[in-house]
Amino acid sequence: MTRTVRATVNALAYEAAVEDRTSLADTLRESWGLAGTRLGCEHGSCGACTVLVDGLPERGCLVLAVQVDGRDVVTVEGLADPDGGIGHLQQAFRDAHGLQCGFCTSGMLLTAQALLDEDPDPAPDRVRDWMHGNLCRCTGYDQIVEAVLLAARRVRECAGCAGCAERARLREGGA
Amino acid sequence: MKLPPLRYERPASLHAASALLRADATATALAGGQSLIPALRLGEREAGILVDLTRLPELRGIEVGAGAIHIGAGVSMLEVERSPLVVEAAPLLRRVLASVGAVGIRSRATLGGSLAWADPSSQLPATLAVLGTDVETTERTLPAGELQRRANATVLEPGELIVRLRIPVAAGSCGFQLVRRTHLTWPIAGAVAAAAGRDVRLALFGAAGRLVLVGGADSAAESMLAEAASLIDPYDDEKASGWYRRQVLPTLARRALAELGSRGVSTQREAS
Repeated sequence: MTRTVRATVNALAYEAAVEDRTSLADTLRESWGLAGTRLGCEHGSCGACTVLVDGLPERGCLVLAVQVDGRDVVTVEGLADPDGGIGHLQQAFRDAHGLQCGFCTSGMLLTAQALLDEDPDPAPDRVRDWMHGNLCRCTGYDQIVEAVLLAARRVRECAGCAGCAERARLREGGA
Repeated sequence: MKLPPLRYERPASLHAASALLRADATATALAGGQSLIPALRLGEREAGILVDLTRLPELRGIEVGAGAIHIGAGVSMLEVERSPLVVEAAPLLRRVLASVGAVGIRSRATLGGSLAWADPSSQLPATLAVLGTDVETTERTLPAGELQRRANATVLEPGELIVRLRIPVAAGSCGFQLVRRTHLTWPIAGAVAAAAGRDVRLALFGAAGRLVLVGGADSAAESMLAEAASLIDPYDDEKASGWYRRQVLPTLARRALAELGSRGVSTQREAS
């Protein structure tokens, strides 16, 4: 069966006609052109397709598109600064060498963003606890943990850049 | 790896959900979907209709009343573990939940779904059983320890849905032990124990086709260990052999009971 799904994605209204069986991740990529969300294992093990639904990380391959009707979704495209540049979190992944091939990175970034939204000063063990659901076959994880801690520090020390203001606005649900 | 064709229904009430599930033998309840959707994708399960329970108001809410904490079957595990009521009233549940999957799984997965999925290697049905949880369904109330019939099957009738869990609030102590390959994988095997008032209970998971539950009022640790050991009937799967499970379970059980402190046992005999 096909039906219409409407959701807010990165603070913009999106609509698509989807088959009931279509996952959120496939809809993001194929209907809405938001191909920054990666599909790895497609059965919930790898976390590459992680997006935020109503502020919490969820696996885009394990949620049907019809299930997010009326919900608020954030993808990696939504982490960019208003001017299109990358924000503190992405810059920290770059600076701390938190990625190599990059395939897992968008999922990593969304999980990390949800953590930092909730806890601006997470202990290293808390970062590991949150990030262990996202698999990376390149880095060995230490640099990823380092990147999240670095991002947390930069956000805490930020004097109020456009990117931080945008994140705060999106967290409040303003569009 | 895409899902096979299926129909999605989002009934507006619990009653309507039950009716949909009773009316069609291929209909399957969809809670968090963190086990069901992978199984459908991998072809391990089939479903003609998915009946989505995730927005049903009847399955929501966490409250304390009448000596128990009441948790809606559809509340996400993440919401349960973060509830100050759960931290206060059921610290064992919070500790065990933190060991399940990852944050991005627990944000959708539910306790009702975990009970209904009845995976014999899951730590959650065993935990709810040792806490003396009553499971309220659309038809009846039964102890969590009696819900599993065999591996991946419950005693629930078609259309019967888990609505709410009632966990008695009682000061006590608890123990939890498990082995697994990584933090993200299902347990291979484990043991969970709780003591409150006169009641002491021990449950093993990954030990047999259904969870092993022993104990009761004034149960002695050594007799519980002996009874549990006699009920171990382990299985081979992709995670480990039955032989391995049989080797580790007695030690895990002893350690879980030892965590109960003076109510439990000494680990001195582990090597013997």
